[in-house]
Amino acid sequence: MDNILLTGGTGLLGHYLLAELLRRADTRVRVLLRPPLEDNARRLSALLADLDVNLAAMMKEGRVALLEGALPELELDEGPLAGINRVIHAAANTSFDADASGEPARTNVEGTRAMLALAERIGARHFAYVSTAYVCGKRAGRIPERVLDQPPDSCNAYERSKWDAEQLVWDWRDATHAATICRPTILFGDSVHGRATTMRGLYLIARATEILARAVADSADADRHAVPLRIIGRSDATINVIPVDWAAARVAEIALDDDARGLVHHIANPNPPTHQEIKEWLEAFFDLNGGRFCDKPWPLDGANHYEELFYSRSDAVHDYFRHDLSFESRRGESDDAARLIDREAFFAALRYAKRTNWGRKRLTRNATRPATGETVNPAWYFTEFLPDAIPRSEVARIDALTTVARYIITDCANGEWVCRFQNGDLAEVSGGPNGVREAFGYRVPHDEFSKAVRGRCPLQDVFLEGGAEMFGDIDLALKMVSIMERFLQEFPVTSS
Amino acid sequence: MRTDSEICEERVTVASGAARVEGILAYPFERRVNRSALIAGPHPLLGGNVDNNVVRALRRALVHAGYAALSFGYRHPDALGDGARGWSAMTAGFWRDGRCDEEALWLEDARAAAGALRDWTQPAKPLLVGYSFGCCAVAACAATVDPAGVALISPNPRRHDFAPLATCAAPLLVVQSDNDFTCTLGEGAEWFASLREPKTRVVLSAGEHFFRGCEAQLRDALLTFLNEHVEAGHAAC
Repeated sequence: MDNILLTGGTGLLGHYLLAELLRRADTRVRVLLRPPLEDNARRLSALLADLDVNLAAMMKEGRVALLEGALPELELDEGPLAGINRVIHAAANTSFDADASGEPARTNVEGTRAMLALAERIGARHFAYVSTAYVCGKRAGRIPERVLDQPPDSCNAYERSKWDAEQLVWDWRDATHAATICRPTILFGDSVHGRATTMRGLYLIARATEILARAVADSADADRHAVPLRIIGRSDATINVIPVDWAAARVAEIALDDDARGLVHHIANPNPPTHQEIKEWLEAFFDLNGGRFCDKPWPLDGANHYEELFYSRSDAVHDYFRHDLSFESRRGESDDAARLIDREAFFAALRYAKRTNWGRKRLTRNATRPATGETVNPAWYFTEFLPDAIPRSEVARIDALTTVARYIITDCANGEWVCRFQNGDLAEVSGGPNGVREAFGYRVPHDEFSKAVRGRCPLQDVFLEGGAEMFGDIDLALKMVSIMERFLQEFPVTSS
Repeated sequence: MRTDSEICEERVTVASGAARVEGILAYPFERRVNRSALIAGPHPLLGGNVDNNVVRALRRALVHAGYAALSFGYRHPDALGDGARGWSAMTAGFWRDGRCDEEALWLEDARAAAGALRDWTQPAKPLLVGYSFGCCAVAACAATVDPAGVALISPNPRRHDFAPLATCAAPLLVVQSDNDFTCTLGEGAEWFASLREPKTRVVLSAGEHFFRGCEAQLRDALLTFLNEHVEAGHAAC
């Protein structure tokens, strides 16, 4: 039995990691949570519930115990830590920029120092540290799996703090204490639903692209398929982005593997997307074209309105495509392994991001299930049901399906929704009367809508019997009715 | 299956090549018929089937007028046979171009249904009635069946082929709504002018393409055409 002390359990990677550890039968995990314990325990319980882990049941079985303690002070009752043989330190402050309180170094460096001291006090002989592959800073080329002796030219305070922390961890090792460093690359939405609870990194680029798309849509004379955007960077380099659940599984595997001790491990995508692919996927998702890579530094000479808008989102956007890195990975899959992040996975993650308003709104399972009785809640249907079901339906295989449809469900609140389809993908769902201009639309009373999406009345009959109206391009609207009929046969709403 | 006091509707199956096509053969319950009509409905990728409001209304109107009327559903998009594209590929093509290669098979279905109708009812000449995509389906039949009359409801001359009608001498009815998204009034008039005689054009100031709630006007237009242009032919037979 492995007795593990875990930090960072409520973090993006951390809660997936905890779920992964608990899926193994031979583990008991003590989770260090920031105060107030009650609030963070509730938060952790909700996060784990999304991953089908019942925290209360696990605690009852003695598989999990929660401890209160803040880093770096770490004033805690160490009694419950007796018998801990491994520490997995995944807590981090992920702010890129240093602030007046000393973050992110305070949490990342001093917090690691405190955890190492704690590990020594409680007799834990193995310390696994979750770092980042980007401790390498501005280095280029292939990054080795070893601790870098010299401080790199870091891109930001976060990267530097992680390098400093790695030094502490490596210095802690001795004849009786082993350390392992796990260096994930860029965390992205999970491989199941594209779910992520924190959206940084590549999400910043996606958000900047969305803002650009909105600006183009709002401009009467802009051509969304010829947006004059210079993208600073190289098209053929790669972005090492990985699904968060995959990363968590690798960290768990490494942290529990005695053969992995004393080593640095990159948790990297063996077959990452290129900058060009990311650009094309973003353009497809947001229905834009026109971006081209250029080998010039920020600030760009004569930057146009769209470039100012795109790059104003974050300093991180300036350099995002400038890096050309690859990561040594002795445990990595072969280069011809199935792609961890492909177009479909990328779209799923962006859909999830949009549904959560880029991480601002938390989605929980069943949070907005269909309302009372037979009526189906349109907000739930359009923001949760459709984005989940359409990628699994035959609709997703209609590669020519690129259009924008508006659905106005009358007699209810939040009844107006716009769906943008891009090559069969449901690329965007937005609510309310604003948003992307539709090619066609439907106006349907709420009760007829509910009957139709439950598969109890063919959509065509709803229309032909006068229960619904079509507007805009009726030819397309009619074709879409037929497509929706097929979808409703595959995916009717089955429960209330 | 008896649907009201005067109409009997039978579910029937027609062999169309290797496929089987489902249909409804409707006829007066207590009357002997010597007239028959084939009704071809809208495009199968647009939900065209025997329960369509226009198909249903015309079927009943024809039976009340003393016809045996066969309406049929085109072979299902999932049952197009080996080598056919899947539904999604077919739909992709249809979404993009407004037509698909499989339409040729659905025209075959119409011809097969016309042949079956002739075998079942044995009247001299059938009436051919098409609605929307069904208009080009009955036009295709006109080349092989010598019809008593041809009625086209909401034809789309921009998208479909009506060339076979040129060699058909039967009276022709074209019914168009004044607000049909598939064909403007001007386009309809110009196309109608190019058709051979004898022909009649009726423009209904209602109904759009779908004739929702305006089925009675459609029925009246068809029955008027039958009385004025087709019955004389039947009488002569």
